Order: sequence, then structure tokens, then C-alpha cells
Amino acid sequence: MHIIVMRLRRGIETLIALVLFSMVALTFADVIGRRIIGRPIYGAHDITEHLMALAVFAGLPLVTAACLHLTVDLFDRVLMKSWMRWWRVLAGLIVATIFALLAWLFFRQGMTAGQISEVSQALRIPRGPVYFYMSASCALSALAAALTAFTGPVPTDLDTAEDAT
Amino acid sequence: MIIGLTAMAAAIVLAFLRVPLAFALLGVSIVGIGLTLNWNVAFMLLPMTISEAVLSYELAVVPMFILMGNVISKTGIAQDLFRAAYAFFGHVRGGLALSTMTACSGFSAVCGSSYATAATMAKVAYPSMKRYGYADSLAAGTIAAGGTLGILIPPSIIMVVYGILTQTNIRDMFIAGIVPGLLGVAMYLVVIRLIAARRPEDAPAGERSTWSERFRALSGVWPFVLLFILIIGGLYGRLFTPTEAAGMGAGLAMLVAMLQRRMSLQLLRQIIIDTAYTSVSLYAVLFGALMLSRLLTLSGLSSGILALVTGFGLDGILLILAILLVFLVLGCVMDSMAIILIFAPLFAPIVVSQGFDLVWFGILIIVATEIALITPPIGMNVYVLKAVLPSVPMVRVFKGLVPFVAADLVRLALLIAFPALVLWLGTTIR
Amino acid sequence: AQAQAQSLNLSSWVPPTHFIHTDFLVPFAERVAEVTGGRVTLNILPAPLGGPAQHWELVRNGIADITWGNFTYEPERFIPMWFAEFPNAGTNAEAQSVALWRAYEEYLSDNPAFAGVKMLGLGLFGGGQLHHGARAITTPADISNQKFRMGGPIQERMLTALGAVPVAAPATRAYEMLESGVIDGSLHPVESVMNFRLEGVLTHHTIFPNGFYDATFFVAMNEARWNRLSEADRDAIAGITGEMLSAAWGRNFDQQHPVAVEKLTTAGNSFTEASEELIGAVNAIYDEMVADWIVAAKGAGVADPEALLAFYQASYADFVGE
Ligand code: NA
Ligand code: NA
Repeated sequence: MHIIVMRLRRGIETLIALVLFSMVALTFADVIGRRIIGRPIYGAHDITEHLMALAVFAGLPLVTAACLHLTVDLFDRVLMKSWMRWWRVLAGLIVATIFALLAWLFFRQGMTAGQISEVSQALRIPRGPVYFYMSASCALSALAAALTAFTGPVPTDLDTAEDAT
Repeated sequence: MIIGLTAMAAAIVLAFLRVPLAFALLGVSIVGIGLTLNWNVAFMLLPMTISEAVLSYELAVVPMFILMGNVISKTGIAQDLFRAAYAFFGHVRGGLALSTMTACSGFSAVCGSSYATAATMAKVAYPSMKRYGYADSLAAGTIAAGGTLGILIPPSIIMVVYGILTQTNIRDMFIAGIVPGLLGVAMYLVVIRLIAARRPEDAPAGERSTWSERFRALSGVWPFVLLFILIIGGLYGRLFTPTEAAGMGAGLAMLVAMLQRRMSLQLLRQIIIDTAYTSVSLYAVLFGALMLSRLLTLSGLSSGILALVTGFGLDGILLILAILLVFLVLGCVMDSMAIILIFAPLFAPIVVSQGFDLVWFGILIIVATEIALITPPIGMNVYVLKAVLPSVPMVRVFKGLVPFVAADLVRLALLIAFPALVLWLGTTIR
Repeated sequence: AQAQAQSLNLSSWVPPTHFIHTDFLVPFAERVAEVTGGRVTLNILPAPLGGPAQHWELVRNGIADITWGNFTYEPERFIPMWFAEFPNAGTNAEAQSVALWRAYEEYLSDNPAFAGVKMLGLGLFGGGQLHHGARAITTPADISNQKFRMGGPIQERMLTALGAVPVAAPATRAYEMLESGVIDGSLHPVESVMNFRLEGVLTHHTIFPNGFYDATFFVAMNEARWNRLSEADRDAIAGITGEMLSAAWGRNFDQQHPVAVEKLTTAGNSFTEASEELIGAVNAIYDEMVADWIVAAKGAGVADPEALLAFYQASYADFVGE
């Protein structure tokens, strides 16, 4: 079980790394394309948007499993005591519930998207599969949040997780 | 309006109770919208808001800038910057602190995060200051204060977030941050000189470098100069969009690191994954903040507060001062990103309706929350330092920060009194 | 069925300084309050509830009670409306908007694409034109290989067929894209060159006498919400919407146009008419697009697309003649 989770995590991490790297490469190609050859890549912004969605929703289950969501730790001295464990479990279950709700709502959105022919602006990529992907990611995140509420975070290889502020 | 107020209070309480910020915001917004209108609206709005945000081209700037900052800080390129600054200023009294502050400002020009700036410079500069016998309060204070430059000198993640939430042009925010950021650097340098003059034993001089050493050290600065010209020049000259500038910057930083043989494929993978974790958690809180701002819109809280404060005769500049006071007080107990996420959408419509410029207002509240990063009890930059430098007592760091906070308050007053400091550079473009 | 006061949330995605807000939405809100004796008021929200392209879904699902937006921001959804965005839809926005409303009433009001909303008004913007940052574009040779910002599938097809390079982006990003060389020109109605302050970067305006392309807009209310209004209020609001609101939409654009032309001319910009050759090339593409649309519209549940198009053109000519 443990090994499967670790393999899955490393696999997803590699996918994200490739996606972010392609975003950089795409920007280079687009900027150079229009500056030097005079031919931008049609729908480059559209592709960037989809790559970003791909990366963010691939990362959500990982960040959730590692318990790396931005958390205010002002009252940790009280909240991390053992008699507050019930509350920490409850907080984890709140996260799991919201993810489960999102999974259902994105699934519903995906069903609607097909009916109303929802597509992206430039490349007209159908939105239905995008929503189903988001739904799957949220379902996996719900599972991760529910499990880690009891077990604690799944360890990562990160040395530091510096926040973005 | 009652629901809006209750919801904001509930979100803050839940966040303090260790519910991850993103989910405190999401949960409260869903329930709030469900109660204000109906549950169907809440359930329809939720996936629409999140998918709109994640599929936004503007927001893709965030991971790209984080990536660039990570490449610079994790491949040792930042070390060279400090060495160059030291070669020039090291020999004067307080020279190491001056070098650190200069390096902080240079690093801020390629990094959009204040924590990353503080953490990187702590690793790079603290050991030298310790070796030369600097007082802990001055050494750590310099780094914590210098770190705040990360979010004011562009690029800045918090400016992007503010721009997305209030529909303010991100490029305009970046350009507007330049002068206040440089003013901040200048004032911090003056503060260091004054401390060094008053308590010379806290800030002994380092050794003098020869001119040839200086020129050699200067060669370590070119990646920063290159990146700064690419990003700021590219934005100021409108050569690319902010997202493109970030993508180009990240790519160029990787290229430099590889050419200097500082980055293996393994390290590259690690840096990108680090970036992804940080970006994803940021996206999640942004989803929550956007939902909260939908609730604020639907519950009429902004217009309610406006009616209330103008009823008290608080309008014009008095209103701005009152709002800034709120931000400064919030800054004592809350993280600056959380403050911007929760309160910028609340106050922006009020400020606009009073005829003020949202770019100017944005810079003011960013300066105000930047102060939050270095004041007790929650000063995130100090906590970051604590993680990197466990041996320095936190009280001493906060004590060392007092003069820097004073300088920040003076700067804030200047920016309120002279809006041109914020807006002038932007007017030279168009 | 009740007489108590009701407030309807209106979500709008242009800044409150835009003329659609000040000269169209605000007067509309005042008229609604007036004709219902204050029983129904419109609350224009201080911030939009979603992106521009989401405003149909916002109103259809009842998240907002009233919204306005552009049909082709959803590129494949409102096929029955496409004909009005083709070239040659006219340059008199009031006549266009009224003709579109009449055509909608006659042929489209029960089409499934528009289910779930009570349409309050429709609008066109009086002819989109071609604008370039460096030189006058008058012939097909001038346009080839030039990069133009555009939005939507119809403009993309036109530009591609003319040998230009389409770049998809919202009009709000035109300025930075022109300045940064992402694009050489951009498609707008003349009005929006002024209102987006593009006069410095789009200096040459090519005018097609019957319009190069157009954009179809809706003002809509959630149907269930509409049905919950009292009959008296529904009747009162019906009296000031539909054709009347559509005409008001068009008049606003018609008022902007001469102001914009004067301002751009004062700024030293040049206006040129498209050459016969270029108009001929556009008309050839137009014929193809109409033929394709007739097939697509039949698939989308329009029984007689040819009749719909002819009805629109006749209504337009009628109104202009009046
Ligand atoms: Na910065
Ligand atoms: Na603080």
C-alpha cells in the first residue's frame, strides 16, 4: 500500500514537472515565434490555461495528502495538544467534505458542458473532459483528506515548503 | 449584510482553529451564499468560479514567477549577489548589513515572495554577519525587513493576487511598486547606518576588497541584471505580457543555472515540484477568496459598510486612513496574504466609489500588510527566519525590527501624502 | 402574485465608467423602477459574479437574476445567432438590434439554445471594422500575413480565409498586445477603439460600408425568476423591454460612433474605405459562411434559416428606410 502511494506520488510529480516545463517552453516558442518569424502559436494562451489547470488539479491530491495547504498556526500550542486531536480530525473531515462536494459539482458541470457545447475560446477544446478531470482530482483529494485526518501527512521529499507570500 | 459580516468572522475563526485557509473560506462562502440566496446558487457558482480561475491566463503568472525565484535561490546564484554587494560595502561600519539589504533588494527583483526572499538571504548572509560578531537583533532584523521587499519590488505574487481579486491591471501594479520599493530600500539602508553609528559594537566593519576583487565579484551579478532587464524592461516597454515575462524569466534562470553547471536534472525536477506544491496551495486559497468575494458581492456587505462609514462622516482620505488602520491592526494577527485575500475584495468597491485609484490603494495596503510580516505576534518573515536560524530568540528579532517598522510607517505616510510616488512611473508609459 | 417590493440582482462585467453601464444599464434600471411603481428594482452588483463568457450560465441558472453578454463568447453554443455576426450585417446599430429582435421573436424564441431565460433585449454594435497600427489596409494583399486580434469563430474564419493570422484574445488585452508586437492590428467597432483608448496604437481604420463583422448581445432574465414576478409587473416590464430595449442598445452604439470618428480624426488617424477588391473577397467568404451556417442552423433546430436571414435583412432595410 505504502509503496503504491509513493509510486503514484512520484508519477504525478513527474507529470506536473513536465507540464510546468512545457509552459516555459511554450512561452519561449510563442514569444520568439512572433518576434523573429512573425508567426505566433495560435491559441498559445489557451494552451497555457489548460496546462495550468492540468498541473493544479494534478497537484491538489498531493498537496492535500502532504497536508501542505496554507494553515494559520497561531494557536498551535493549544491546538496540537493531544486532547485536541478530535478537532484536528474534524478539521480534516471538513476539508474532505468540501472536496467531495466539489467532485460531485464538477461531475455535474461536466455533464452540462456536453449538453451546452461548452468549449474554450480559441482552440475550442471541449470543457466536458476538463471538468471530469477536475472532478476526479477532487475525489482523490477528498480521499486523501479523509485518510490523513486520521493518519497524519504522507511524507514528501521537499526540503522546505516555503509559502508564496 | 449580517450574513456577510458573520461569514467573514466565521472564516477567520475557522482559519485560526487550524482549518486550512482555503477550506475555511470555501466552506463559509458556500454556507453563506446558500443562506443569502439558495443552495442551488451556491452549488452552481462554486465550480464556475473555480474553473474560471484555474483556466485564467493572468493567474498562470504565479507559478512561473515562483519557479524563477526557486531556481535563483536553490542553485546558489543568490550567493553571488551577496558576495558582490559585500565586495563594495563590506568594509564600512554596518557594511555586512548594508550588503545584505542590497542583496535582498536585488533578489526581490527576481523573486515574488517575501518568505522566499527572507529564507534565501538568511542562508546566504546570516553566517557572515554572525562570523563578524554582528548583534543577532541587527542581523536577523535586517534579513526579516529586507525580505519584505520581495512583495513590493516587482515581481510580486501578492500584487498578482490583488490584481486578480480587484480586476486591477497586474502590469500597472508592478510598475507602481518600483518607486515605493526603492524608497523602502533607501530608508532601510539609512536605518542600518543610523544603528551602526549609534551602536558600533553591534555592527563591526568587514574587510576591504580590492578593486579587482570587486570587479570579479561583480561578474556574479549579471544573471540578476539580465533577469531584471528582461522582466521590468519587458513589462515597462510592453514587450510582453506579465505571464510571458514570468515564463521567459523562469526559462532564462534555468538556462543560466545550467550554463553555470549549477543544476542537475534531478535538482531541476525538485525545484519544479517545489514550485508546484507552493503554487497549488496558493491556487486553493485563491479559489476560497474568490468565493468569499462572490458572497460579499451578493450579500451587499461592501455597500452596507460604505453607507455606514459615510454616515459617520468618514469619507475621502479619512476613509483611506481608517481602512489602512484596519489593515495594520489585522496585520498584527494575520498573515499578509490572508489579509489581502479576505479584505481587498471587501474594500476595493468602497475605495472606487470614493473616486480613488485602485493601483494606489493596492500599493498602500501591500505596504501596510508588508509591515504585518515583521510585527509581533504573527510576523511570518520572523517565523521563516526562526525555521532557518533556530538559535536566534524571536524576541530579539522583533526588537531588532523596531527601527525598520518605524521606517515603514514613515514610508506609508509618504505614499499617502504623495500619491505621485506610486502613480508617476505608470503615467510615463502611456 | 404578491405586491411586495422585489430587488433583482444584475451582474455586469464592464467597469462602472463604461457607457453600457452609465447610458444603458442605469437608465434601464430607472425605467424598471418607474413602470413598476418601485415594486421591482434592479440592483447592479458592484462586481461581476463570473467572467464575461459565463454570463449566460449565470442567468440561466439563476445565480444572477439579470445579465447581459455576448453570445459568441461561447463559441459553439448559439449557432442560430451566428448569421448576424457575419459581414454585411449593417452599420446602423439601432436598425440592426431591432431587426435582430424581430427575427428572434419570429423564428428563434422557442429554440432550445435559449431555454431557461426570459430574453429582455438583443443587440448588435453597428459594424465591426478592421484597424491596423502601421498602415492603411485596403486590398487583400495588404491584409495577408498580418496578425490581428479577434474573438470568436466567425472572425477567425474570416481572417484565416483572407490570409491573415488570427490571434484570439479579449479586446481588453488589445493595447498591450499591440504595444508588444503580439499583433499588428485588431478587430473592433470604431467606438471601442476610442473607449479602449487604442487610438495611439491603432492608427489606420479600414471601413467596410456594410460592416466587416458584428457581435450579437443579449440582455436576459432568469425565466423562473421572471415567472415569480406579479402579472402586473411582468406586463409593465414587458412594455419597456423587447424591441424597445433592443433599440435603446443600438442607439447607444450609434451615438458613440460619430464621437469616436471625430476623436480619432482629430488624433490624426486615417480612415479609408476597403477597396472593391477587398470587399469582393469578403463577400466570397461571406457566401461560403452563409451556406455552411444554413446547414449548421438546421442541425441546431432552426427550421428555415434562409427565411430567418432574409427576414433580418428585410427588417433592417425597413427600419433604415423609415
Ligand atoms: Na519581488
Ligand atoms: Na504581524
